[in-house]
Amino acid sequence: MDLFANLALGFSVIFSPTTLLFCLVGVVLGTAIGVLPGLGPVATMALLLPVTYYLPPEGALIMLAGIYYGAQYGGSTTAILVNLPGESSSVITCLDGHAMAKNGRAGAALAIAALGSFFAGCVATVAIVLFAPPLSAMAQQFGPADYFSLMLLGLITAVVLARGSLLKALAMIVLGLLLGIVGTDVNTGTARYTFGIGMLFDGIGFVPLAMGLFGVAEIIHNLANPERRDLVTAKVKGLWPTREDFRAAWPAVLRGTGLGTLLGCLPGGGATLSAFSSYTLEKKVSRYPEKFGTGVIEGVAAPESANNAASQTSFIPMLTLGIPSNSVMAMMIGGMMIHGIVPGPLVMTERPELFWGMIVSMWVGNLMLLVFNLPMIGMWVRMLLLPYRLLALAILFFCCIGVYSLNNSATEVLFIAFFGVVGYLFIRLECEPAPLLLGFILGPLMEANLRRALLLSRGDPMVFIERPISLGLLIASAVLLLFVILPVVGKMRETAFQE
Amino acid sequence: MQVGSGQAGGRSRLLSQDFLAGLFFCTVALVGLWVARDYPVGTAMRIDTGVFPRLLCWTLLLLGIGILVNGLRGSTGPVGRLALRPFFFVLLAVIFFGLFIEKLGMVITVAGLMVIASLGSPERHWRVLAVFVALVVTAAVVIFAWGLGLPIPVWPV
Amino acid sequence: MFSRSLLMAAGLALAFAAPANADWPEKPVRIIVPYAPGGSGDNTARAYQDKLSEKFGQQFVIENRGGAAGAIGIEAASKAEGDGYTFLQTPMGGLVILPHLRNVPYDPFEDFKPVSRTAETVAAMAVHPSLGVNTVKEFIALAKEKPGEIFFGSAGQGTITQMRGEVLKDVAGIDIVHVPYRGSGEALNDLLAGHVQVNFEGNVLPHGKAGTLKLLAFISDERHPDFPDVPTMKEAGLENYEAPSWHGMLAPKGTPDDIIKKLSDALIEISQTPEVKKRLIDVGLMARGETPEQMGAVMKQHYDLFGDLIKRLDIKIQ
Repeated sequence: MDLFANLALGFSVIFSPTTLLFCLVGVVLGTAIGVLPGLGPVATMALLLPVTYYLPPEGALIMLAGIYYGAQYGGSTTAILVNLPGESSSVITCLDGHAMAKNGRAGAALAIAALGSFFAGCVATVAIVLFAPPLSAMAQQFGPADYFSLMLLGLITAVVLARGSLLKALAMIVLGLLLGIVGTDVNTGTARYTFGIGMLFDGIGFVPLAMGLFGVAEIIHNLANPERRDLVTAKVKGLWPTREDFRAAWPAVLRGTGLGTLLGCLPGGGATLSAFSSYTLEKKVSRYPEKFGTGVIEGVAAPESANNAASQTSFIPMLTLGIPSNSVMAMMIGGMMIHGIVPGPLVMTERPELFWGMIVSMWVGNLMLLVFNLPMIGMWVRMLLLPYRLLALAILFFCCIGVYSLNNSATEVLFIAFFGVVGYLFIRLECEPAPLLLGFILGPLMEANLRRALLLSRGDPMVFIERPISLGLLIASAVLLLFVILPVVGKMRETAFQE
Repeated sequence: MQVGSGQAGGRSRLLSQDFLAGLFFCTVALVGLWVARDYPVGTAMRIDTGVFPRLLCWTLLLLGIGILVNGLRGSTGPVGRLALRPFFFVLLAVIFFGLFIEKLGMVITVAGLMVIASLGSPERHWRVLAVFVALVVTAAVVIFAWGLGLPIPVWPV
Repeated sequence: MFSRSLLMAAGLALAFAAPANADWPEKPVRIIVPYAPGGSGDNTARAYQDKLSEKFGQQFVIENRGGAAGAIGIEAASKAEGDGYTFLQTPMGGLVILPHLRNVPYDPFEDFKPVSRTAETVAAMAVHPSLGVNTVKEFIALAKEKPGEIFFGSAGQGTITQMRGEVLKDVAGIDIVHVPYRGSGEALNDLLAGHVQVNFEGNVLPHGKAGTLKLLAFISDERHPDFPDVPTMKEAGLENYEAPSWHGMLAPKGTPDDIIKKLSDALIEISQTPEVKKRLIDVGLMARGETPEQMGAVMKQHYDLFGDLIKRLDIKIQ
């Protein structure tokens, strides 16, 4: 069958020694920068792009791709160990992952993250091989109205994942939405809330925001509390997940993989939305939802699988149509253009060795990452035993240099300081930053899609109900909202009754 | 029924986490509304730039008031002391980095960042700190300036 | 005659009184590109970079400073020393379109001296097959039948991709509705799906070849070699259609003229080499090289062109 011939071609491309080497370099580099807080795959790819000109095209692109999903693996490491999300999709892993680390179970968390990611990566690669055209077509069905409804559903999941007061979680989401609005308004080009600062024209960067809210704030907080100074409060209990862990985790991995594979194909959907929604899904189907946030293995397994599956399938729009689903894909397109390969529907037929070589390299890269990361777990856990006052300095350094290297902008480094203040305030006031980050990411997308949908329907709001996908998603949002509000209303009724 | 530490007296209710949080949200919402006062609103069907900011600010204001009221009703305990020392030094360190990285180069700024931040912790272990700083600075120069070729000067310009 | 040879002698004497910059460059030269790597302007800069380094024996280093549709990088270059070691390589948008729409912290004419244009963008008018039109004239007829019902996508408010559509509206007298996106990729996605019906971009070419989109005309002076059947806008009947788009190199004011001339001559030379031509055409650009005076004239002409268009069509962003 044609498929086997193509796969054979792909294997022949990847298994040449130079290409294998590039793949290895890519995934190792990706893991390294994923681990370093602040420096992300986009910045690294940007730095390496000129170098790739001198490399053969397949090798160059496979290396760049390796950096991307390698960074997903590495990002989970920092999220779990030091509560710093390297990528927006790792924010969710911080919740239960870091909690597990504090319980002395960092090894188990890291292992499950790696294994889940590997499984998800394999499944997603198979999905690409078998279903790239139909998945791509499905993604095309999504119009602005459908995206809006999807984002709305995503936003409601943010409420679910909050642990404390409902009102404060809602306020954090709204605040996140507001922060997301800072910048140029896509629909009119007007600048909002930029106060004349040039760097704010494109909005607040996710990285400075996350580094400030999570990194700097945490460091200040930890330095202040001598008891919290050591990141591991309980003794390290072995490096490998227990049998119960596996039993609890594998359904989560399956669900996360499924969700991630589907959501990753949507340009603009992506890894973050998949990670957040898979976490919410787990919390909703779990028998012990109140334990989420204290160190539950499903809370690590699901989002990690979801975000890895999504990062693989996010290649689909780029490979089949030449459309970048996120800034990393835009870099990949840049990498292709440097080699004179114009991305588009013809790449599959005109450069099959490139297309299939890349797909097969995803599987090989995932395997390399698994083999590379698992033994490192011991080293990482031992690193946690470094005195915190020194570790904190290194983390601070990486945050700063990472943000600076994104745009060669010292102004963005100053933003970290600003958000550090705000973040520390949030910690003292017990406001959770995760819902804020989700609001921040989804807000501008929701608004842009809402206005675009109305523009295209010439002002007719019924478009949201007339389109079947949008209708379905809106109904799901309403149902989820009810699920969230009913228990709270029930509790209020109870207390009123008691009093 | 009360969550958090029990009934607090009058003054510490003003310092309760929820009260302060509510105050914070209300302030942000009001500032947001004020800055957005001139943004055009357009019509209901052709939503213009000002609609979302206003909508969000009003929602935030309402939520903020709700949280504030909860705080006054004693829903949470008082916010503890602000840890001024790490707060001050860590922020100073980051600002120092941001202001001087392009003029003083990597070596001085990174070392400065780490030394200033280390003052945020009351312990003093100069020798260990010096070694660690030297290590990180060397790694920084090797990885970022030489390896990745970032256009950051290594020494003062 | 006597005075002429005196003039000649004086001229020769001056020439030999060696200009202070005969040895330029003596150290690496910085080229600021106001966009992120892999994006527009960056490819052009990199195509010329190696050849420049080779020719002058010094490294020409690219510094990406993206943001604010190019304004950030252009501002940084405007504040640089005019010592011949910093230059700006940018798509024209930030120079001739943006200043009409927004207050920018630089003056494209006062703060810079032109060196040479380096490339021209290739773009085509592409429609979704469902429209059922095969020529520009048919499209215009359809648009006149259905005013306000046909949508065109762009890479953003104030970009050349929008301007091309606005010029069409102006010249053909039709009412098509602008739908701004964040970047060309998003706009292409919605065009392919049929949510918008027409784009004026460079990234549509592979889809024209694959048949997923129909290319009606090229927005340039010549037909594209890979699409011999697709006419230019002028050939398609719109003689007044003008929506130029180019990339160019500029120097901060104060840069000595002889350095500028040296660089300009080098760029002209390099733009004619087959490798640079191929490298640029592969990514949808056509290599160009010209003298500083030529570029200066063109820049002013286009600045006025877009200024006039924007004022006439009342295009604004606050």
